[in-house]
Amino acid sequence: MTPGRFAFDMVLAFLDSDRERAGESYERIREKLLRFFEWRGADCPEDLVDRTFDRVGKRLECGERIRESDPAAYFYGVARNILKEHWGGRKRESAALLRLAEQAPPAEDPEYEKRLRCLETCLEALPSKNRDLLLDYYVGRGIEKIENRKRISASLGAPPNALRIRMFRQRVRLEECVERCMATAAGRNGSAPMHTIQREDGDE
Amino acid sequence: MTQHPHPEDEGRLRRYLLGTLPEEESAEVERRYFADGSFFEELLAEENEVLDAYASGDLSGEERRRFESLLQSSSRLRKRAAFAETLLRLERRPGRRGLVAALLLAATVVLALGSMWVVRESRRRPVAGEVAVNRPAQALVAPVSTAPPAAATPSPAANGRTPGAGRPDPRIVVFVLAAGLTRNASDLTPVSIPGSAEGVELDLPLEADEHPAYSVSLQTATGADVLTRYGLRARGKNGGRLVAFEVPAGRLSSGDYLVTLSGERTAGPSEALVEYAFRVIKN
Repeated sequence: MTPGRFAFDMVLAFLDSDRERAGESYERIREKLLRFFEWRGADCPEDLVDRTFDRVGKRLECGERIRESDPAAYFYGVARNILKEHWGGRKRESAALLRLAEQAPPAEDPEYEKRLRCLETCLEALPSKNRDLLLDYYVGRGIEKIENRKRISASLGAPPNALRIRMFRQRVRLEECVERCMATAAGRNGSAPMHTIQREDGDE
Repeated sequence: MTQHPHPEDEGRLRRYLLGTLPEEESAEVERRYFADGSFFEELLAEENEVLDAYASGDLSGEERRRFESLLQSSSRLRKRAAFAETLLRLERRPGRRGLVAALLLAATVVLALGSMWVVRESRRRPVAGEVAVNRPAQALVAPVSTAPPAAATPSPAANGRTPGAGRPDPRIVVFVLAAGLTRNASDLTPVSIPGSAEGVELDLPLEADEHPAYSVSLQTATGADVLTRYGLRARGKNGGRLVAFEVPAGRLSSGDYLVTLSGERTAGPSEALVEYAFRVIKN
């Protein structure tokens, strides 16, 4: 289910009078809604995100005036209601899913080898300093990992959480690269660059 | 400006992600990340931590069960979990570990039989790309093989069965390493390599010989690759099993090193088994 064109335009106008900024705002809210539904364990989170936008669009279409100063907060309120409705219909299934999760461990990743090759390819595409840092960051477990990260943080002169966010961004780009690579390898998206990583300021 | 969370926050974010935070607090977290992009990013970074903990088996039983129920309903999370698993396995492969960090938890090298080095009878084994040079016995250097089959077929001396013919050859020194854990790099046992030696054989005893072949990766303390050998086969020595490989002495300078031993499989990625750290002192 996707919002109708008019309703969608209403949503964009609600988000910002500048259409480009409205589009950016839409993407940010969409991502947060998606995570919200995912982290709450909802089935088909994409559908629920669409339903949220659709509902807001319809309200705007019907002339409802939204007094919420922060559009994101308004969407969150609508999303909570949609989640409640969703749970109302799925509570029993959810319990069954929990039992299933208890009994059936996830299957082995059938695309492991391909993913590994893509990961190696994407790592090679990273500037060497970033690659080394990323690999170093994931060394160890438990206390060893914590100590390792403290050491990296101290050597870079960056607070631990700044390092954490930096590594998170690097990892997002690496994951995107791997997804593109796998899509290319599977022939689903031949035009996608296979092993390029968008660089950011600070990359070397 | 990004506001970094207090450590208490991190525990809270983790509990939110795993669905163990009380409803009111969960709603508070949600209101905050809908309003604050930086906080949302913190939460995404915490999601990475949870994915990594899941991949490495560090979640408790209840946390794991909860997280697996999330995985079942989200294809994006399943993909991310698969990525975390791949990243973890890659990190555990030889040649990929950050060596400086690894040295913090490095294996102490123990020289077998009281830190002694033994002189091994060695036959000349020239290989492609290396030149065999005949020199007088005391200074002769047998080019060290880079080919796995050579290591897979150890010389009689390396098996502890010095043949009657021929004299001991001081060109190759043999060290038997044993793994032990220490957090202090100063505890590393020094490995003294005489100036006359041109090759070093490192013997790595196995607790169990469970792989058809092994690979080793030798790195400096700064993480630079020195060499990697694949297809090494275990052999018997003194009633046990070990994997041996040779390093040209010229590739070793005074300093700290780490060897990672991995077991190869007939299918699938190799499995990192054990690490050995040592300090080279060249005489």
